[in-house]
Amino acid sequence: FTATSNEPIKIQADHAELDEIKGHSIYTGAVVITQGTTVLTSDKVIVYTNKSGLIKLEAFGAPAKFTHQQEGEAEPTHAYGKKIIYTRADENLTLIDEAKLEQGKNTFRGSTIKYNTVSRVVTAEGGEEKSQRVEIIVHPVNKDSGETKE
Amino acid sequence: MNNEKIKKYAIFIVSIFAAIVIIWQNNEDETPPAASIDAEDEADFFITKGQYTVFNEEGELSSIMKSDEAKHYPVRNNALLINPNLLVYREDNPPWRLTADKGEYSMGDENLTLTQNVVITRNEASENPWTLKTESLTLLNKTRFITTQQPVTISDNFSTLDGTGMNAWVDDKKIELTSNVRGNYAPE
Repeated sequence: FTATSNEPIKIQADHAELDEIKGHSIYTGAVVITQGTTVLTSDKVIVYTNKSGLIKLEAFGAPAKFTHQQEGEAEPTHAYGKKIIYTRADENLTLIDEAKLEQGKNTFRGSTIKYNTVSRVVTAEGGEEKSQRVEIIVHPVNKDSGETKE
Repeated sequence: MNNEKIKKYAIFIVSIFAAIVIIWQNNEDETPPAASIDAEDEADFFITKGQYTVFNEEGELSSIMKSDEAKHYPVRNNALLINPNLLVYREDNPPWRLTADKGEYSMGDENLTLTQNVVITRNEASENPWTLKTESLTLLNKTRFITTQQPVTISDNFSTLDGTGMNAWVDDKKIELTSNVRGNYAPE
């Protein structure tokens, strides 16, 4: 999702609960959020709003899945996490708990991954346990053809 | 031969009699029960441009109902309203305003059913008014609970939400859409 996009953010779900006091809406049941070519699918999403509109999304799933097709890129970016947070102000996507991000053939794993949807910078953090170390697989690019090698 | 003839005549007469009874029965059922109630239940009084104010047990203002016309029907003990306009007051928050073309207020259980162009408006004076539109809903006054099975559209300055079926708890400030939810948040 990008704040600069002039596409609306659309949500489909089976059920919605609006809480005026907490200023958020909870969508549950096969939740699909789209903005142009960007898609986020999950079991539950909490949408936070203020006077100027949507400020934050929190998606929960097993895992929640985010797909973003960047213009000019052959393959979309796929991001996964049991919890995915999108904050509109800094345009950050935070993947939490079994976090994984795939850009073409490159893969990032960790307990938490931050991905900026505009600059496309990826920051991965490990967890306390050994099994939660950061793992990054980057395929070298073939100088001549510009394609990533196997 | 005579016996044969008498038998035929007897059967003929019995079948005619049976047909008459059946037709008479059908006519008996055709008059709908409501029609007979309507005939008895005529409005016993009506109020034009009336206002009906309700306070809660603590003496605080709970709701104010206005309507262009209200007709009371004694047998059903309800009032039919034209252009009802109801303000439901809430603690520390601006009231909700409920309007519609028609309303039916049941004196017994104090439920109000609104139909045709039903609109709930919240924060109407604020820079970001919020509205909920549907074709009919029922407000249970005693529990201040609002419910409908109809399609509903909720909108404010930057978002629109559609769903089918809605429940709202006025005092808990919670609303749920029970199926087929489609949300649309405008870009900044």
